[in-house]
Amino acid sequence: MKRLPAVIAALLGCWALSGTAWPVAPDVAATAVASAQASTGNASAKAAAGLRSLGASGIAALTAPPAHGARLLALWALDCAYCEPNLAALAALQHAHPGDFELVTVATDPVTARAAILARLRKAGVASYPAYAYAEPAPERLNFLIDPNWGGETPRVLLIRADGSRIGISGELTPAQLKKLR
Amino acid sequence: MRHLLIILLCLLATAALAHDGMQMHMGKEHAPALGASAAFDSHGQLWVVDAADGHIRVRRSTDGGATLGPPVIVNPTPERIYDEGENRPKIAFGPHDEIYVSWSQPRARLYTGFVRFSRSLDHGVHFSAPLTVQHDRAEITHRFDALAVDGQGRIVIAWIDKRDQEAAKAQGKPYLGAAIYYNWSTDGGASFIAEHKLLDQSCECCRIALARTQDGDIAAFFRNIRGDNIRDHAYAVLRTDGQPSKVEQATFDDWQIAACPHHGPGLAIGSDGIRHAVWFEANGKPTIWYGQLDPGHAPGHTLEVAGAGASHADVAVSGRTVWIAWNQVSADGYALMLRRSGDDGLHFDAPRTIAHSAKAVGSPQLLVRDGKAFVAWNTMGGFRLVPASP
Repeated sequence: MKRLPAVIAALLGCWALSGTAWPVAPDVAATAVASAQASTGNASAKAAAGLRSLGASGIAALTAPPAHGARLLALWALDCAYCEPNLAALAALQHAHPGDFELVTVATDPVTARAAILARLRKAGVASYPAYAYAEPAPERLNFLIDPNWGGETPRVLLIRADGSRIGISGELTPAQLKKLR
Repeated sequence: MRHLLIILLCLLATAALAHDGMQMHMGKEHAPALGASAAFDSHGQLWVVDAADGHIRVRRSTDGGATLGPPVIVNPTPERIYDEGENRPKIAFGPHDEIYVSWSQPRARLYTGFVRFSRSLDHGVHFSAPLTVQHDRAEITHRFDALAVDGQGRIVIAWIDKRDQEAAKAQGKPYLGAAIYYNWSTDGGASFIAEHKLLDQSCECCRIALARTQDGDIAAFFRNIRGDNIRDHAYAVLRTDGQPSKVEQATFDDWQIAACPHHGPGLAIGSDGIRHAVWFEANGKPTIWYGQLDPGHAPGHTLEVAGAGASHADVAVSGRTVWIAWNQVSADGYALMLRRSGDDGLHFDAPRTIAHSAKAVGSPQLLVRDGKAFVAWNTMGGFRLVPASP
């Protein structure tokens, strides 16, 4: 706790330099998304380089159809007891079919809750997948941009196939729903 | 180079935070979560409560909501505070403009909390030392508090409580969701009686809507769970005479979902006893509904208020005028939307945009003063009081 003033100073510096009211400037978020795209393209199981910030400008790339197979966007939240088993189930699905699926986790919590988000991803056993959290303190706008048919309930999985088709399922996945994703 | 520096600073800051083991909601390490509530006192002055840096703070507007005065700190000792959309600090007034404030305080364990309360008897100059409202002190969920004052001045607080879920889990028995408990104070918030259970198996993280009935009682409207995770809503008058409260199913959308929608309803009861309600469900497509509750039966005069991108509706009534406000997102940001009925909710005007924000916003809250409605809207650009009347 002794470091708190220094931490605050660093955060304030971060905000001031970014020139926005929120810590991550949009183009920084976009850069992070672009680099994540590069890393998700070939090996989803590759160790994620920490948590990336997802802003509005990064969503088009994240939701674009993959070159082949399908992308699983695992949408989750810290205050969601159903999310951990869902994340684990999606990781198991990806692990069983590594050539068919890439998995990306997206926390709808603000990226400033980084420590708590990363801890939860580790607990669910999915920390090795590319991981994002929202660059905005309220999730509704980014929820809508990711999937206009989503009311924000978590967990939700959005399956995006190479042919552009999508399936969105809210709630903890049943075995039948998991089968549908395959 | 500038961006590299920014990233480096952010990484340094967050690494230091992680090392200190701090979590969200503590205060300084995260920007305000936009969870705020507002109310008018008997003189028509607006009061706003929110959280900043581990403190609950109350601000008053003396210019009709255009600006807010300096904050009065409610809890001198900082504590963790839930201050996001469905779980935001609350404010209400007693019969002589006593100021009552409640909030939920995260505990060390995940998904846990205590319900906290403080009052001011001198118009916001001083606030009492915060007390913990629920008598059960287990480190479990007692959060998502809702606050109201009944016709006799009793302070009623309802919250989501997981003691029964924990007990069932310990016995290896199935238990969906959480429970709703409530208690009240008959001494102006100096103390609260031991809590009563309203029902088992409610939704875990949707706000509870409270409204005063025409008889002066407090009614609750909330997302319930029935059958296999069907998350429709229930209605009950919260009895404060020692008798059990009667809980009845009030919406019938059959939305089955093993998830918490984080999307609670709204309720306003007219002097004619009509129970005006708004709620969200996505059995098929995301929809915000208006209806007049007829507990035990399907609601009457239902209207599909809004669809995709609409969220967190609130409702208010004065005389025969009913207002519905909600947030509507688009690629451009957030629109604050309004629909109005002049005939007790039988017909509503077309939706219209009454405010816009490019940046993030909190849930809208409808307030009525002298028969006119306003929407309290906390945005990243600051708090706004938006007139709902033309």
